[in-house]
Amino acid sequence: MRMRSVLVAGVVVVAAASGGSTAAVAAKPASVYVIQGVQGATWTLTVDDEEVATDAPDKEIVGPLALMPGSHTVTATGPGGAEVSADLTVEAGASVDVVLHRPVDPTADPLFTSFVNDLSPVKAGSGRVTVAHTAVAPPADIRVNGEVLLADVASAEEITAVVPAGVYPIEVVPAATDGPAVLGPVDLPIDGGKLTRVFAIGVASERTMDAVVQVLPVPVADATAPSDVPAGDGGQGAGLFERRGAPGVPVGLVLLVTGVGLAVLGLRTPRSRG
Amino acid sequence: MGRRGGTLALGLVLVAGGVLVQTLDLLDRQAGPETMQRVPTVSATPAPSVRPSALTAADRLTVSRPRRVGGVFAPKPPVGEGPVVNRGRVAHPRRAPFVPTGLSLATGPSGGRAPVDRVATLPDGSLALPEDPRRLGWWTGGSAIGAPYGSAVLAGHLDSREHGLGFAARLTGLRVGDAVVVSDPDQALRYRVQARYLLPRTRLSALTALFSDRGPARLVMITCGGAYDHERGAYADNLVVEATPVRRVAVR
Repeated sequence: MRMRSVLVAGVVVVAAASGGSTAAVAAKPASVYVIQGVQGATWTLTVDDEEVATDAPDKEIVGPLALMPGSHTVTATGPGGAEVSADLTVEAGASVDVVLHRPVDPTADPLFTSFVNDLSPVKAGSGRVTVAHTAVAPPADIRVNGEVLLADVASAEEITAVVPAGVYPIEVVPAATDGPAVLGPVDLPIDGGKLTRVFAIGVASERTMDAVVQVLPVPVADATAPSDVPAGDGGQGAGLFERRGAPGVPVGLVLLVTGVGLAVLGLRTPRSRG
Repeated sequence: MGRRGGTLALGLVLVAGGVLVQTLDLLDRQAGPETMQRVPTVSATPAPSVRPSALTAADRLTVSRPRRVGGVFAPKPPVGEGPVVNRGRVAHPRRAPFVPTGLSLATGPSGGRAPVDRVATLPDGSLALPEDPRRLGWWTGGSAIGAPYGSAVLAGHLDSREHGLGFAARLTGLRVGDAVVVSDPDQALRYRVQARYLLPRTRLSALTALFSDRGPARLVMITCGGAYDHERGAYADNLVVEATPVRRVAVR
């Protein structure tokens, strides 16, 4: 660890000495979480040349790793010497999850997929929930009490909603069907002021679906409900709320009575002529 | 004959006119804002569709505790040739909840479109509506348009001393069943008017469901209404129009 700091310091000195941009010096590192999403196997995870997790079982999360903006390498070494390696480019200050998971094709090798965490503020009493599809399963709907909360998320996709804090009984069903569920129903607690990330893993056809849940704090924005909505001070709209005609004088009724009176008078008139 | 017939005809015309006016008056009373019910029907606090808790641990997804690793990882020169980490995509970004920038009412005398700004609650508790009565405000503390739960709140000036009648005056023409479309540059959601009523302004904060993030998704539109006090330059009531989402529509 100390060696790494020295290395970074050295890079900084070189950058400064070579008259390069000082932006790299001021840049914030990205916070990266590496998630082991391959079920039933242990994988050793390496970032750049440092082993960050040895024989990590499924659902293990390593992080946050402080990765300076730019290019890095993530590597996973698994059963039988299998190796997955890929370049990861991160931006300054970003929060990123990198998931090792199996693709939809169950015969293909595992792969790394990255997701950027939305850490923008939520209002007090609300939480943000993101479901990422990293399973060997068809596109899915996430339902709560039988109603679709998040619709049609496919492999390597994520979907997000801001919801009131609470415990949600969720169920994952093949998209646009009534089930049967490939995962759940199971309770998912969603805390206020938090980002709750759910990574669906496993193989639907083998009934091994599970979920890795990660929770990150997010800023809370004020959301005091207004006690007054003063929405008019001119009076020009007052007429829209007044009855037509003079108040209390039913014009129609007056006409009706007068009309009946005149009609009766008209019918009775002949006798006086005779 | 002439005088008799004339009186009869005049009488019948007046009867017909009387029936017509009376009928129109009755219709107007049924539909007109001044006879709107003063108690909301659909905004009785809806139960959130979440369970409060108290379930066994076996039923519940457990949160993983990340294992921390210290140190700072310096970037390396990009190789350019090797495999890169697959970038996760957002499913259906055009169907995501959004912050509205416009509201349209169906064509007709009350039709039209208004731009929508973001508005917040002031320290004194009042909602800071756009000064320009041609614009509406979306309350930033409320739900986004298309969010799965809670009230999305839009409000605007009925009128203003300086600018005259506002766009929100058209809300008085809305009837139950009418369509309202709320949009941003990329997407739009159609709502159907479910209820409208006058509410004494002093009672607004008592109806917490109007501003709640719980319960079914709904649109709450608010302006002023009722009796106008010329001395104070203020209305006694708020006109509230509630609508429920119908479906996504193409952006115009």
